[in-house]
Formats: sequence, C-alpha cells, structure tokens
Amino acid sequence: MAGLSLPNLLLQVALPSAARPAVVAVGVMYFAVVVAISVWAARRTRTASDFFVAGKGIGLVALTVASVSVSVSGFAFIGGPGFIYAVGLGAMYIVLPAAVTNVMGAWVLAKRMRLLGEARNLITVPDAIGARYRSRAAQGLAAIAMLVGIVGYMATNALAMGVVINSIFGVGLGWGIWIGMGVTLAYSASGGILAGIYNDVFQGTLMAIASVLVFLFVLGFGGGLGEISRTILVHDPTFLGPWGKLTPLAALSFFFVFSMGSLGQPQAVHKYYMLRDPLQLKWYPLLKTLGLVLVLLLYFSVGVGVKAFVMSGRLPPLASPDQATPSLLLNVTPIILAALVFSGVAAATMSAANSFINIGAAIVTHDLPVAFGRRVKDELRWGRAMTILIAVAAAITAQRSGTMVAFLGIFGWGLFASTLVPALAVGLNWQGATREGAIASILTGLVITLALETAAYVKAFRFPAGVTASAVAMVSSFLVFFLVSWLTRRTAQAAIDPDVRLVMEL
Amino acid sequence: MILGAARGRMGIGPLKYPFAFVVAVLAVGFCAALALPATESPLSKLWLGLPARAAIVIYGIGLLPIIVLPVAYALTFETQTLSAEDVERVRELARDSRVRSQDQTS
Repeated sequence: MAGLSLPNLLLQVALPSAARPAVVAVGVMYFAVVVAISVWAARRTRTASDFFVAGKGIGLVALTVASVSVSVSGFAFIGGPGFIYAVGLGAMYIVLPAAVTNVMGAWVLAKRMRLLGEARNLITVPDAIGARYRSRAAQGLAAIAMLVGIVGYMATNALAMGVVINSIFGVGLGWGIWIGMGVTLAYSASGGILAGIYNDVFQGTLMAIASVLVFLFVLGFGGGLGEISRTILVHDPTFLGPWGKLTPLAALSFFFVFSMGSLGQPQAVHKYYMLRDPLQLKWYPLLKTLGLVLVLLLYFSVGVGVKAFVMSGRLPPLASPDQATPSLLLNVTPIILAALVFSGVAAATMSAANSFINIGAAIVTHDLPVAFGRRVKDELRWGRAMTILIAVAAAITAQRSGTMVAFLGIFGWGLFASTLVPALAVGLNWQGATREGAIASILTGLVITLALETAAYVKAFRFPAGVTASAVAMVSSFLVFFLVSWLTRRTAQAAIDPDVRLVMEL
Repeated sequence: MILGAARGRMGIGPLKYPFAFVVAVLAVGFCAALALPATESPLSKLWLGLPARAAIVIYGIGLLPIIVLPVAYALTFETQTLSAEDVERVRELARDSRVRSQDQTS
C-alpha cells in the first residue's frame, strides 16, 4: 500500500434499507428499553458526581460491560468486517492488541486513577493530570486537546447513528442523525453517565448476543471455518496470509498504534473512577477481555465469511467492502438476527456518543474553569446545558460531507492517543516525569496530529507505506515527554503531592 | 506494562514469568509469521480452520495472551497490585489532608 491511514473507525457509508417489519419492531423495542432505563436513571441523578461519575457507585459487571460497549463503536459491526473483507487478515492487527491492552490498562491506569478518585474526589481525566503534575496549565491543555478530539469523534458518531437509523426506519439520513442524537441527548442530559452506564450495559449485552449469534450462523452457513478457509485459499491465498494484503510494516504499525493508543481513549479511562470498590479491579481485565472477544467474533467471522460466500457465488459481489455485514444480514440470515444486529449497531454508536457527550460537558463545566482558577457554582445544571450544546453541535457537524466527518473521527482517535498516553499513562507510573514534560508532550501531540492529519486530508502529503499520522504523533509526543522531563528533572520530585506520591508508589 | 506492574523494591515479582511468556509468544509469533514461507494454497494443512501462519497470528498472538495475562493479574492482585490495606492507607491520607485543609481554612 503506497499510503496508509487509520481505517475509518466508525460507520460512514450509506447502508441498504433494512426497513422490514421485524427490524422496525426490534428497533422500536430497543429504543423503548433505552427510554425506560433513562427515566429510571434520571430520578437517581442529583449531584454533579452522579452526573459525571455515577456517584462512584458502579459494580464490576456493569462497569465491564459498559466499558466493552464504549470501546468498540459501530466499527466492530460494519467498518471492521468491511476492512477484513478488503485487506484480509491484516485487518485483525487492529483488534489483536486487545489481548494485551486491557490488562496493560489495568496495571498502568485503572488502579492509580481509581485511587486518585478516592484521594481527591476527581471526576475527569484532565483532573488526574492536574493532580499528578500539580498544574492547572497541564489540566487545561489536556482538556482542550480532549475537547478538540471529542468534537470530531462526536460528529462521526452522530453520522453513524444517522446512517443506522435511516437504514432501520427509512427516515432519511438528516432525520436519522437528529433522531439518534435526540434520543442519546435525552438520556445524557437527564440521567448523565448513570443513564449512560446502564444503557451501555443493555447495549453491550445486545451487541454480544448479536455477535455470538452471527458468528455461529456464519460458521454453520459456511460449513465451518475450515471450509470457509478452503474456499478463500482457492481464489485468493494472500487474503489468509499473516498480514493479509497489508505489508508487514503496516500491520505491525496498526498493532503498535492500537495497543498504545487504547490507553489514551477517555471514554474507557474515565470509567475507572466509577467503580464502587477499587478491589473489584481484580477481575476487570479478564471480564473485559472476554467481553471484547465475544463482541469481536462478528468482526472476524463476517469479514472472512462474506469473502468466502462472495467467492463461491453464494452472495452477490459487494458494491463496497462496508456492505459486507448488511449484505450477509439482508440476504441470508434470519430476519430476526438482522434486526438484532442493526439494533446492536445503533446501540454501539449511541453508547460511544453518550460517553463523549458526558466527557465533553465535564471538560467545559469543570476542567476549563478549574484551569482558569474558577469553579462553576452549579456543575450539574451547567453540565446538562453543555450536554445539549455539544450534542446539537455534533449533529450539525455530522450533516457535512461524509469525508470531512470521517477525517474528524480519525483525527479524534489519534489526538486522544498522542496527547494523553505519555502524560497520563506514563506520568502516573514514573515519578521522573515533570509538568514541563507533560505540557510539552500534550502540545506536541496536538500540533503534530493536527498538522499531519490535515496535510493528509488535503492531499498535501502522503505517508510512506506502513506509517500512520497517529503513530508519528504518538512517538513524537513520547520523545518530547521523556526529553523535556529529563531536561527539567530537578523539579520532578518536588512537584508531586504526598497523596499522589502514595498512589504512584502502591 | 512493567512500569505499571512494578511495586517498589519488589519489582514485578512473580509476574516476571507471565510477562516473559507473553513477550516470547509475541516475539516467536511475529518472527514465525515473517520467516515462514508463504505456502498458503487450497492444499495447505489447516490448524483449527486456518493456514499455519494465520493460525500462529490469530491463536498465538491474539488468543494466548488473553488467557495468560488477565489470569496472572487476578492471581497476583492482592500481593502485586492492590490490597485492602493499600486502599485504607489512601483513604486515611485523604482524610488527614481534608482535616488539615479545613483547619487552615478556619
């Protein structure tokens, strides 16, 4: 591949219409459950802590399912299988790091974030950066970087919601976006993250069930994985090579970016604060990894299965790789399974959108005022107001061209990775890190991601094979973080408060 | 990961075995995928439904660490990651800090 960018992490394409009675009925039931959960959660949301971190009262299973749900987005069900269909097993390098990243996140971030929440009553990710470096500037800068990323990511999620809802109900893309964002906004603004978490539990369960059923269906329809592989090997052996149609460097670049970058995704990191008892973290990595494996069964089976079915003539050729899942669902699976998966995709996009709306609202009402030495008096009321503003802005942005919105989504993911991983993931584990190093690395990640992704978007620059803007930005951010921390190392120890030091030493 | 799992003078303690195992699995897996000849064909022997090199990637690199690392994390959690005493120390320090800041305010 001459040039390589991160694959489209979210759903951008127009899906074929799935507006059949069974699909519409399951879709309506899905929305009814979401509304019921939201009403229940709204009655229990009374403080800013309830709104932003669910009162730190979420149990292990709920937190794990919610975390799985927000981690995958619609990409796991539509874009991911399409990516496998296009490039073969090389696309698996996006999800293979899950074997390591969940437990790495637990060791590197979960314990320290949760204990910092215990010691300081923190409620946001930039809060942790501010506490670690005793720096309002670092907290504010991290908040700005996250906000820029959230705007892009939210627009992509809003578009994805519009695409799915249009496919299920046939209401048109514009109305699909407003309906999806309207429902998400309703539960985000009323019940905050509490509504989000319990909707995530419902949505994650739905996604896992749909994924397992589709996996079993594909194996049954194809006569087992061996038969599916034999069909592909007859027509295109490279597809089942260890790198698929990617170069080894490109595949390994994906492995690096997605293993390290996952540590900086705020929608997952933020959830560590919400666990009721820090000791419940014991089973978190195992449960989350198993949950992800279940949800990703569809990713693998549909990508590989549809390739074989098209090659053997059992499915018509696809108009584009992203049609892999819809083509399978609408042509060969029982309609009730198709209905479950379409609702699962809607669930995935709404779940991610809710998390980002909540995190964005917390940044505007909490982190930015703190960075300027002020506190908002009624964070709950302002949090609700900001939730509405962010959702409406995302819906309006999503009405723009799909290419533009796709660019924003890719930009957002890379930005979280390059700005948060060194300062947060390394900074919470290395007492030699300094606030100057953190500020410099966040700035570096922000500027390089913005410059490279924009240059690639306007085609002013083309990356060599196997190189991604996110990887370059993340490596640069790491280098700057270590270099500046080393240059300013005299201030390192003095800038850590005793409670933060204890959390870092445990 | 080692940075996060290390605990004071104890270092990573018993976790060195699962860590070494996973590093070895990843290194051997990637090297094998690179070094083995590309012999995928309709006549290839399949390993759990996949050609050899693909099976190494999916089952070796993808699935083996899933079993080893989270289980190692859970089994060493109290000694290596977090104990009830650790949590209590943090809570106690937080209580002291609040009392001190209230005293300073008043």
